[in-house]
Amino acid sequence: MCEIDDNLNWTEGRDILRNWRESLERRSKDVVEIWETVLMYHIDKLGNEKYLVLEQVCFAALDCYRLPLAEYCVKALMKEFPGSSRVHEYHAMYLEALEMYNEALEVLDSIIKRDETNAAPRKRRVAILKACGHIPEAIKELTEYLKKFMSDQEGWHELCNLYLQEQEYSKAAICIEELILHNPHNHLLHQRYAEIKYSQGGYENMYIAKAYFCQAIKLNPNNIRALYGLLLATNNLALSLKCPVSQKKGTIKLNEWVAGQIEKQYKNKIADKGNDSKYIEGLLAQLQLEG
Amino acid sequence: MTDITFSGRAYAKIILHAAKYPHCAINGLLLGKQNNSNELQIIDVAPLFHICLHVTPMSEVALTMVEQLALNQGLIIAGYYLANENINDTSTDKPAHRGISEKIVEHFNHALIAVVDNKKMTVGMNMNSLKISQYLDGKWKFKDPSSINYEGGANLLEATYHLIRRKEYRNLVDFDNHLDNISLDWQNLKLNEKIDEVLKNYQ
Amino acid sequence: MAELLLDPNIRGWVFLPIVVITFLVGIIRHYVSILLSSQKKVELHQVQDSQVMIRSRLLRENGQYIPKTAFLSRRHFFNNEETGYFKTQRRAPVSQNPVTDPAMMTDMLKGNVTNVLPMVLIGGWINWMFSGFVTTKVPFPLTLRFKPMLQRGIELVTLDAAWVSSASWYFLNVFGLRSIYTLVLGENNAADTSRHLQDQVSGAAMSMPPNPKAAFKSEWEALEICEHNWALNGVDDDLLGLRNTSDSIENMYYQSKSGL
Repeated sequence: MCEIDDNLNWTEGRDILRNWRESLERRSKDVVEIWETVLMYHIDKLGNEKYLVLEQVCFAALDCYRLPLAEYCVKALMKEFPGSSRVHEYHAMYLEALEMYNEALEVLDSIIKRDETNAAPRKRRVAILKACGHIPEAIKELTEYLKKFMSDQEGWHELCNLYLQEQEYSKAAICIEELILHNPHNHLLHQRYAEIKYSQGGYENMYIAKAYFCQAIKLNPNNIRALYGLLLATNNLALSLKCPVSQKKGTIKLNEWVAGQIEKQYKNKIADKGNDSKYIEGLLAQLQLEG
Repeated sequence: MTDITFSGRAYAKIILHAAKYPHCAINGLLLGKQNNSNELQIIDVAPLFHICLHVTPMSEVALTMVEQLALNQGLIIAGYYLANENINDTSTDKPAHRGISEKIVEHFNHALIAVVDNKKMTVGMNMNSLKISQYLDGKWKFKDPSSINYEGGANLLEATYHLIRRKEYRNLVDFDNHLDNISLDWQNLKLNEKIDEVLKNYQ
Repeated sequence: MAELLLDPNIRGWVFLPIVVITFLVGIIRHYVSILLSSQKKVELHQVQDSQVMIRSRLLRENGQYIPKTAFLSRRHFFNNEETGYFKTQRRAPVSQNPVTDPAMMTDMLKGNVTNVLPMVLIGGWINWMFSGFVTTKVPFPLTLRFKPMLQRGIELVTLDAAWVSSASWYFLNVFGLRSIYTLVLGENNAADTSRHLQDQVSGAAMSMPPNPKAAFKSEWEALEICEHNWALNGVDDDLLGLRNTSDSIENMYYQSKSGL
């Protein structure tokens, strides 16, 4: 985390914010800090970039619950672009921060009415339901949304999280499947899918979990979660009564292999600390099968 | 009726964990000691997850590891702490939490659940933001805040405020951080020293 | 052949004015077109259709990464005879006749107003105003075939093909200044970014191919013949196989380290 220099001048501040905007970094606290230390006093020197900065600061201010600052930004943007649905969305978010959910919903509905194809306000509606704690309603709203915008990855991801909160593992798995279709080479998705299948339990699911943990390790051999997961999954499989004898040997072999991998990971990373590896050995001893 | 004592370190670490991930739900384990039948002392905590609390494999790993650690230090896993994602939510019976807490109860039948009241996490840190329930006779019973002793009393809040202002939460490592980069130490030995130092100054 | 000498006044009053006029007209045209441009309206069902197409294409391409049951249930969703998406959705083909669609008409009109009209008007005016001048000479010899292109408005058989007439100079400018416009107008992106803020960027709202029915049918066929081979079959053996190679590399590394 980079510390913000105290005597930053405004061009540097502008460049930092521009960088963060382009690389989609949120860093709300730092954004607000830069705004308050330098950019606030030089807002008119920014030219047309002014509005982009205001937008960024508005978002950050909402994150940090700096409502007066957010209000200032929304007003400035509203003055310049009275008809823009994007600005209205910020207004709705400001209302959300004030917990005036009904008013926020009204604003969002009016945006949707004007442009039906606008995805963002529909997603905010889901967010509002979530903020109120109505998870089943949020799920319903989000599935309605996904019926129309079927290839929205962000939407599928959020739906997965909501289902997980409700412990609906099989439905959450469907969402992750959808994401895997979009990014078949993302090891984190494979790992998450395996974790969900593992949580679901049962021999079949455990078998699938094993395969996906393997795939995650294949894509990234350093994914420690997948290594641990595979250790647990193979352990479960080998101990299961349903496991056919023909597969048992391979599973045990895999179990030994992954235990070795985990040990190696720890040895490579923490050579100097003998303390930690003691627990790992203990853990492995507990989880590993008697070969 | 048992007496419950929270050490300053345990309290500070819970609050720092919540402060590090203000936008996520977090959880962790309470490590304690039962001296005789009616005194439970929470000495330390093991911060666990913030990314996804709802899948079990990594919590199984974490529980096994923390148990090892606790055994070595002569402690037991005495409970579970959490903070919910939603600011108004202080419920402890979310499915995600139920699994782990039931597991803990199996091993220790007077286990505690501490939930961070997000609304009381203010800049000034001038309120105790933990709500504690204990498992008694097959049920979770809410404990009156006055019945729980915090080591250091009002000074503890002062010390926590100081830790937050020094952005010490950036140095807190939970089990998720450890899994992202296994060279990070989830036992937080360095942070423990710092916390102890600050607590001493405020005594 | 006698050398032709041009009056410097031609440079001052014909050659340069034509450059300046065409350049300025181009700039004005740019801003007028910004003022007149209207956002293209996309219907919700068009967005939906295009997203469905993306999803089904991804299912065909990456379907082998999800378990077989998951693949089959998705295909069922798209292709089932009674309930499948591709079978039940009936879309009227989008009307392509510009005369019946008033929005298309205005679009065409706007295109004419900003593009063709100024060309004709200014071209005509320049032809009338500066007619008959020889303005400049290209610094290389050209064949006679270039005469009608470079010497529009001057019908002199004996004149060398390298000389350029005023009307032709205008046309050269119109087409040649295009890259200079992008340089000048593209340089200050600020105008463009602030425009972004005004017209909402609506995600992946690509419009559909004109006839969704045909697109659905071909996608249905492609999906129907798509087979599922689970890519994760034998991935555990892969890992165990991988072990040998990575082990030997590590061992070599450690051996060389201990040898040092």
